[in-house]
Amino acid sequence: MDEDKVNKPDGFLERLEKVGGESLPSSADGIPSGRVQAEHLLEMMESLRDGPGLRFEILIDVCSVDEFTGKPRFDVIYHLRSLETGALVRIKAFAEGDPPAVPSVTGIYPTANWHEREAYDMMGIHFEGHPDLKRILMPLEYEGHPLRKDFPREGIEPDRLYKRLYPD
Amino acid sequence: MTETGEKELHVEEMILNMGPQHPATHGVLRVILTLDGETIVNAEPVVGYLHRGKEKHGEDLTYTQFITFTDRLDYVSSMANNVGWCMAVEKLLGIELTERCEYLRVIVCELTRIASHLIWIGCSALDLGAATVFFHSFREREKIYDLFDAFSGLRMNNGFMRIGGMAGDIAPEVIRAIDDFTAEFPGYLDEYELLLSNNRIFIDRTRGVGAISASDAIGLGLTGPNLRGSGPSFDLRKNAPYLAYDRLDFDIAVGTVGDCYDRYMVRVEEMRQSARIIRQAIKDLPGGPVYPDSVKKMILPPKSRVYTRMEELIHQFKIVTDLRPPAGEVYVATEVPKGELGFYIVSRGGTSPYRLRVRSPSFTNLQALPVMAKGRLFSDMTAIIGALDFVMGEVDR
Repeated sequence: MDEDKVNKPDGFLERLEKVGGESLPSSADGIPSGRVQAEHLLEMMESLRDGPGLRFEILIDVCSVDEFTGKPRFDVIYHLRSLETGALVRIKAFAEGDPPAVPSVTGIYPTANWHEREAYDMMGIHFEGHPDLKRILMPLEYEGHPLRKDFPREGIEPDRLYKRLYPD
Repeated sequence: MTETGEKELHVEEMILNMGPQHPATHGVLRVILTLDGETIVNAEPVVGYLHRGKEKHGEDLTYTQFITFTDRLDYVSSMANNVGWCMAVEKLLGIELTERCEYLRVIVCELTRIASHLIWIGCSALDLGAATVFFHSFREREKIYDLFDAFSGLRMNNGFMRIGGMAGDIAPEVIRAIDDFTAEFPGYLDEYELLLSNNRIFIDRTRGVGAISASDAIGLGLTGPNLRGSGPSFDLRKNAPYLAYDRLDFDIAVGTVGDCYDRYMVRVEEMRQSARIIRQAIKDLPGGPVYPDSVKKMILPPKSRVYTRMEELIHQFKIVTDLRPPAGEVYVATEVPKGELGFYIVSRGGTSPYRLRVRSPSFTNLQALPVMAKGRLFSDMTAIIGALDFVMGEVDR
């Protein structure tokens, strides 16, 4: 595996700068990371999928992190892989606002559909433009977002929740 | 009344619930089907019936404790998940594995791949009516269980991997038994192929069913045999090698059309290649310790020393209570039987991860179900579900 090709995929830094993103210091796994503003996210994703430079055809994962004491609080992280070289890149975008929102990339990578639904379900991040944003792992009428740091690990008594929703 | 005076047939679409309890959905999958007669208009999978909150639990457990949780993600290929998790934490800690550990992990992962595909071939053939294959493939899987039992003490959900190495070494007798198994395994594969590959009924039920183009597969994020069935020759063991895969010689099976038959052939060929990998790895297996000296502080020392020596006693205490990787983040992916399993760990320097994300292949692969099922007949659902080969434990976590 060519070290350079993996750690500096062609054109990644250029594409990042073009949308005004900033490159982040490398992590323990050596995957190049960049942070973009939510407004430029779709542009960045399109340029990653189509080029110029190394094309990242597969969106591997969309996940979210709750920085409980940070401002902004929610961070959405995308991992993309190139089929040609197997290289990975990581894109991060803060989800700001109330409710925290970020544009949906399902138009560019259809696989984001369920990943974004899960991020919405677990963290409460809204993905604008998502075709069908509803809960995926929890029941549809559930309230609360389990992976947030202020959600108890033991969960919330379903009795209390459902007694409120269905008083009879 | 139409012109000829006949009554017009009133047709409407029917919504059928293929409920979470169903023998052919391979776990607790619910599919809400919109049917026009027997034709599927839409098949919407509803998941979450096996959601156990593993990612939330991970934030409260130590890195070693989470190994048992990774077993139960894709519960038919436990040790492959263990290896993925351990590799992610090892990346975070910057640990170099010993060569023996790398080869042993390859052997265990490939045995797990064979075991997982045996369940797949048995269950998906059973769903299509070919019950004989089920009994035969589970007989082979019992042999693999015996091998797992011999070195790890458990048949399933072994959790045999540790951060920096393995929980123990694999004895030479067990290695010989694994070698004997892989020597006779291609013969068994020939038996299954005799029953299925040229079987008129099997071909009719899987040829052309659930076809997905390469670009659709890539767009939907399919990985593993589901992606390779459509054409792209992408396998993390070759394209982003890890452990000892770059030193071993094997081929990647790809399909052309991306239908259920192609995915079936890809997995059968993968089983053959796995047997080939195991035999090579056994031949090349180096001696030496299973974990490097540098991780003495991360793996529980042998109890005989813990009870008698001060140093090991302190290590035991610190390992159980106080294993702290440096702050940072990693994403490490491995090629498990279902596709690409990735662990994204955000560490803030504590004993537990700050955020733990499991990128499960089955979750992403299951998204392709509506695309594959649209326009097919209802009885194709079992063929498509079988060929997708997902495990609900991994989908829901």
